[in-house]
Amino acid sequence: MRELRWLLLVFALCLPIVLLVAQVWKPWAGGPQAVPLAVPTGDQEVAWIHTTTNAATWERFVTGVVRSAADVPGLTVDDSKAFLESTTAVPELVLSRAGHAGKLHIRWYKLQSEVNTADWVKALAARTPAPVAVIGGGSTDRAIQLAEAMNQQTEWKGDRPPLLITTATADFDMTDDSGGVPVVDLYDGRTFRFCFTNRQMAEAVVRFVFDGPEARLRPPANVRVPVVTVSWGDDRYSVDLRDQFTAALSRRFAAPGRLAFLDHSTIPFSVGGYLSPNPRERDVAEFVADRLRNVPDERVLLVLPSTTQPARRLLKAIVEAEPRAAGKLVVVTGDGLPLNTVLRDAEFSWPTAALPVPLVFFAHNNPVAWDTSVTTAPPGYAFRSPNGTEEEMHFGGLAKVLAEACFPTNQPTAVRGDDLVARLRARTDFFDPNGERNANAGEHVLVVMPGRRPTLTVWRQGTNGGWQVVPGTPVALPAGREDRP
Amino acid sequence: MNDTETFPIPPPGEPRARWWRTSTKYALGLAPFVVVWVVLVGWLAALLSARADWSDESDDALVREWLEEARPFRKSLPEVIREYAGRSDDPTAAADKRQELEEQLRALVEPTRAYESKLPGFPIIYRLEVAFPNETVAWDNPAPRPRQQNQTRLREVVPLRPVTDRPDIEVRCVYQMHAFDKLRRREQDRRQIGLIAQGVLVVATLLAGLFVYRFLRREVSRENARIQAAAEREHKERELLETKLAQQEAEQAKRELDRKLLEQRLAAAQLQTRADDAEKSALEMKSQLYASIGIMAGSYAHNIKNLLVRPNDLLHRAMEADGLHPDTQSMLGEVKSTLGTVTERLQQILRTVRRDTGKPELAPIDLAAVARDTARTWGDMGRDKWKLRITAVAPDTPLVVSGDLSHLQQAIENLIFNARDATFEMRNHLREEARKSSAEARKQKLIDAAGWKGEVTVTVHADGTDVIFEVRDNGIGMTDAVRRNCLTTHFSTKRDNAIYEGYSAGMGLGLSFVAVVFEHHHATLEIDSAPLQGATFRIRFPGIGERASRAP
Repeated sequence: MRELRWLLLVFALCLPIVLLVAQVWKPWAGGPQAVPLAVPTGDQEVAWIHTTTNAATWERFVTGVVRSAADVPGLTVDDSKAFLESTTAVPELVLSRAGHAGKLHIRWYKLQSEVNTADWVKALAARTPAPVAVIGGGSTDRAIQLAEAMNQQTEWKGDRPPLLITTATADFDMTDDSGGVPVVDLYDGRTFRFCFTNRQMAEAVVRFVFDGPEARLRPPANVRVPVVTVSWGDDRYSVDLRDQFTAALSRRFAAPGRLAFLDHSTIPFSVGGYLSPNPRERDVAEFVADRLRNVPDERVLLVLPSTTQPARRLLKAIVEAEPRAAGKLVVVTGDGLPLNTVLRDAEFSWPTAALPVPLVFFAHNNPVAWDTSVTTAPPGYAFRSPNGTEEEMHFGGLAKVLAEACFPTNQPTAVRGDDLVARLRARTDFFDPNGERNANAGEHVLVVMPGRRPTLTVWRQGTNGGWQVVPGTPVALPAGREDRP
Repeated sequence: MNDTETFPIPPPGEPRARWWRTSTKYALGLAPFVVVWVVLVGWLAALLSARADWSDESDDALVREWLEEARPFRKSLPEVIREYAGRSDDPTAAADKRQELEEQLRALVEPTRAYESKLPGFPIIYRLEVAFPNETVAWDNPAPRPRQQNQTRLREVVPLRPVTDRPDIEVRCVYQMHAFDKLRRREQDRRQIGLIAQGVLVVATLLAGLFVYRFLRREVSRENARIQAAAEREHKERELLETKLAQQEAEQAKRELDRKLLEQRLAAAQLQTRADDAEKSALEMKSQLYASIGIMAGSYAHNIKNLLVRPNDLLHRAMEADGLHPDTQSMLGEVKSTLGTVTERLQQILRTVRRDTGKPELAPIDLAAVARDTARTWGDMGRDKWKLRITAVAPDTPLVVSGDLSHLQQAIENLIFNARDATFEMRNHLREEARKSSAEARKQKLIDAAGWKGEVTVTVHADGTDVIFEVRDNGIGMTDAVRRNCLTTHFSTKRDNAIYEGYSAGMGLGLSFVAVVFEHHHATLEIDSAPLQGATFRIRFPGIGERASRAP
């Protein structure tokens, strides 16, 4: 009996080792899981749900939040755990404000192929306390997924938290054939969008092109304005922005005959090479080039609602198919192209020599808010040229609004989601009744003018509707060299 | 230790078998730890080996993460795969989705092709395929596959994770990373170090095992020796204890025997007492008998004496008759003398039997004459029958003392008889000694013993006013103990002596009678004697004038 006991002991000791070595058994659950961190007693949490591969976005978010402390009296931002050594850890920012109890932990819960948005929403809903808000929606697709997941999650350990959309701009979810559902209505009554919508962007760009101060972009008066629109069918942002541009142009040129839509092309998918278009893009490019060849004397407005790569591929394909197109086209788009694409990384990301087309695009905030040599910015968080500052400024604005809602002056700290919802809804200076950001309040339009001396000019719409050049621009862009992969 | 617990002493011999049993017992006891140790060491060695090949695992992990997480445009490869797998039946849409998947693969690979062999960490992709149950969507590198020498660097990774909801879909990537990288060279160095470390680990483990083995063996030997010593000690103690126990039992038995012996002695003493009592009774009866005999002898002596009155008278008349022949006259004279002697003897008998020692009838007695009469009376019998010479040494002048002649004569005769007996024992002793000697000396010694003559000398002389009367013999002598007790009533050395078998001796009354007689005469008795040295009984009689002063 004693020998049998020893054998059992040896077996019990060796079996876990064998299972571990053979990787049959993993006591740590065998893979990534959605496990939210605990919230210290008295503190609150805001979950920032974003893809794990976009560490740069988190850095820009942290920069914006840290710099926002200067705009909110008494606000302190602890970034000691914002950049952890392990990429699998959960970084966080800790906000506190003098005179207010508790702290606000903004934590980055990372989306991976194994852990999606719904997993995080379920995990957060099961934890006590529930987060007071969820930040997400870096893109329209992510925003819709997040809004739908939160809408389906009705049980929380506390109030249902509001959804704070960062940069998802699509007005509608065009997934089904119902004509589209407003994105802010997917999680009805608890969604707040901190960026401008596609509609607002399209109207601002159209307004700038046809009524703005840049005369080189405007077609001659009383002539027909030919328009070509292209959208990528797998990108809800692209489809929606194309529709918003179409609508904005239709509203701008309501008079019959002024507006001539030469083509509405839809490319089924957006993926492709760095410069080489995918087959369907090539088809569209050839089609557009053919159309351009038929309108030799007119300036065509090319609505290109996409991000950098598809836009670059298609535009390059069009220019290659019709070299004279460069002189005929004015490309307008939304916020899909960041400043860094055309300025900092212009040599390979947007070479004006290869893409000699005037480009008008949108920014939600000042992308060139570079600090001077003497700055009050915290160490390591200064804005330096030629890096764009749009996202940092955008996230800074979000943080300011969030901090003022969580730690309002002369009011207690928000400890429930409903408190935050009420206070955000009360911010009529920032949000409309639907939770959308107010229009005509800080839209920026960027203009790339190719040529021997290509330039970038940033314009800001004033409250009176007029456009003002943002200080520091125009800036010269790299020219004459096509240094690309 | 329990009383019932015992340590069996290991049997001598078979030390190897005993050591083997003990070692087996220890080995079985240590086996679990050894197994666990071996497993742990093996695990550690495996970890060391895996550590040396870390770059391969790292490469695989990088490629897997790249395939699973990279988004050429918003979507990752798994998302595109899932969309393609769930595509609609519309042929146009299906074609679009397939194109999208192909473009996804191409878009993933394109940066690696653009910077092939230019940047570290960029793999060279030779084939990237998504295998569906019925078809395979793949991207193939037009560049030729690596040649033989580089085939070992061609790896294939199959990330299954992206399509866990469709386990029948697999993504395979054939890639090559690090055509030449210093990490691999370092890994080779590390592998060598790992091999050395593993070798050292194995050797150290073996050495540790050896040390443990030797340690256990030594400890087992010590333990066995200790146990054996303890067992032997215990055994000795037990033996000692058993010996003590046996001694105690023997002592107890001895005590029991002593007790029994004592009881027997007591019984013997009681028997002796009863025997003594019986003997005493017998003596008393004998005394009474003797008294009766005395009375009867006195009666007879008186009758004889009375009967002799007439013969004496007749003899006297006959002798007074005239004309008797001289010879007749001589013979009648001799008869008359004899009758006179008989009459005197009868008279003595009568005095003897009619008087006791406590009532002496004192009268002046010439001890010198008594000595001479004694020698004359017993001299012939001594010479003829007792084989000894009785001589008297007495001055011619009277040495008179006050005494009872009859009592003194009886006392002196007792002393003569004791001397006689001592010479008998001396002769017998000489004979026994002769018999014990060697054969050649035995005869001579027997002759000498036979020729040995007993000597009894009666000496009387004056010492101042006192008269010393001595009876000295050359007999066996006495020990001090015998000498001290010889005057005690009923003490005798002759009682069990075969020499006196048939004699009326050994009653222990003679010398006590002598002592009483001399005491009544206020005389002192001194005895000088030693074994084989004879004995001298010296009686000091006070002179006539001295007697009154010494009377109590």
